[in-house]
Amino acid sequence: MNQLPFLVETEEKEKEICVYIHGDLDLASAPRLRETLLPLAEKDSRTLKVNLKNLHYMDSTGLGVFVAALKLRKIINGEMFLEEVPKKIQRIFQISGVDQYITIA
Amino acid sequence: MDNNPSIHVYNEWDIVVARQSGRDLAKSLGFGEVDQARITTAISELARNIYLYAKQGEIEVSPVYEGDKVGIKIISRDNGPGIKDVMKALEDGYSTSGGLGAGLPGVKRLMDEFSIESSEGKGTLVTAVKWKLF
Amino acid sequence: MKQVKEYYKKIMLHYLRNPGEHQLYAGQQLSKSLIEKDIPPEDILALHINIMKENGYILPREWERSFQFLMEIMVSFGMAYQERQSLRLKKKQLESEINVAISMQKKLYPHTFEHGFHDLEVGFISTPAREMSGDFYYYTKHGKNKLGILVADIAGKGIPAALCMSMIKYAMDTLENDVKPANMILDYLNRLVLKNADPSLFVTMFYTIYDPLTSILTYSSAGHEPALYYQAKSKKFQDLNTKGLILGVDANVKYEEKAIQLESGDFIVLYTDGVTERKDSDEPDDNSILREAISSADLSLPAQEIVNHMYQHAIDEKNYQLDDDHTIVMIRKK
Repeated sequence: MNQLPFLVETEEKEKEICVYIHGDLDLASAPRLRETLLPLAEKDSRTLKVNLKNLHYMDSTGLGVFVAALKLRKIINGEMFLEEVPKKIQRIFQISGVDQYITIA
Repeated sequence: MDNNPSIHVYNEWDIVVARQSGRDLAKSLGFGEVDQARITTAISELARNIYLYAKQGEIEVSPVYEGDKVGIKIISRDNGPGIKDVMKALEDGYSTSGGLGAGLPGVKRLMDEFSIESSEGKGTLVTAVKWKLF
Repeated sequence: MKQVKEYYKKIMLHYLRNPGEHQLYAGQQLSKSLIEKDIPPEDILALHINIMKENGYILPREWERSFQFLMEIMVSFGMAYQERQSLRLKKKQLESEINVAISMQKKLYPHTFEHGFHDLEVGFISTPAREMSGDFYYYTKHGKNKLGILVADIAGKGIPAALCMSMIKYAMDTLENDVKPANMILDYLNRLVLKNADPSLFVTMFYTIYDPLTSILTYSSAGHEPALYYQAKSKKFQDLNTKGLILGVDANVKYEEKAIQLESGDFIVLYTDGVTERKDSDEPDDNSILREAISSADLSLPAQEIVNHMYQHAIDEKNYQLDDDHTIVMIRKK
């Protein structure tokens, strides 16, 4: 079982912020995503686009970060989209019902 | 022999002066080598705290007598920023020395009696006593 | 203390006169008792020097001074050592508190699901990945004959998850005489979790209520893996699922409820995602692991044995690497 290194990259544009997530999102790496994503979700009014093309694995801790980001977005009426979500990860959002709350592009 | 020297601590050199004063008094009261080392270390830690955090303050060393017991009393006084959470400052692992055993918990261990009064913005007063064992 | 000093003197002087490994070994054993008795290093140094002096060994002036210097250094080492001892004690206390929490958590789970008032046979297994499990399973009697069974996965492990778990257990106990449908129970728990649990916590849950008088099994899911339904007559599998958000996120969620009617030999399997997860596959996780296990099982065996077989199959697939809690509950109509 290979453990891919976890990486979060952000690209700021005028009307949106793109966040790229790479590797395995789990108990160990979730804090790093939290550090980057949550402040943006909480304060930035630009559209938040999270690209999951290179997200290999996500567990419930990872899902928890997205749920927390969602709640923060709601407060400031900000938008959040998930892009290029791998089928395996899509299923997690579907089963948990979170796909009804985050737009999956 | 000067019984109550009050040493003004303002720079690092003053820490040495405070130590010397403590050692001289401890020696004259008949404390053994090991206890002298402990007492001076305690004075050193308290003076260092003044120097690092309060920028200036005072160390006072004096003899104490209780019945036929003889001891040495150290008072450390400053008008510095004070300690917000005294209980925490006395806990191991929270000391400013970063896990090296020193700081206030260290002083408490070196001496026999220890008391501290401090609050944010109101400075700090530490009193500690070591008794001579026969 | 005096005894120890005498012993130190004895072996050291012996060593001076007859240097040998024997005395050094004795010294090593002695140092353990010195440490046990909390004797600081500066005291040992003082003892050492005094023994030398008292026994006629003269110290040249410079050596004596150098030991005074060493004494100061030893005092700091002594302080650091004592701090470490104190922290070790604290750590032990924390560990014993966690052990208390672990044994309290174990008491939340039921020992059996089988009772006289229903015609179900239930097998179950639950293994935590670490000391404290995030998986929960429970049953409640609803009204006279109905049996409610839940399987839940509390995200966020350790003590916060265990506290949330105990809250759910006690909430379910208060619903004993309640005849709320499965989806309303999830609604109730959703608001409870939202209100009381840590904001970083959420819970997935599958709740089923079985009525032995009609053999109807109703179910409702809150973001949980679908249950696997096996029909004995057709030998076919089906996933049972309803739409519903994980508990603890949004107070206004509406949960769905669906129903099936069980015939003799039919069963459903509730499980948590640790069981069906395949970490190194890019394919979406589904419950094929369980379907495979059931297909290769002897279904005439008791439910508990079938559950054990499913569990064994799942862990074999993962090469015994259990990264997550595993829970399987099988409910079969006799």
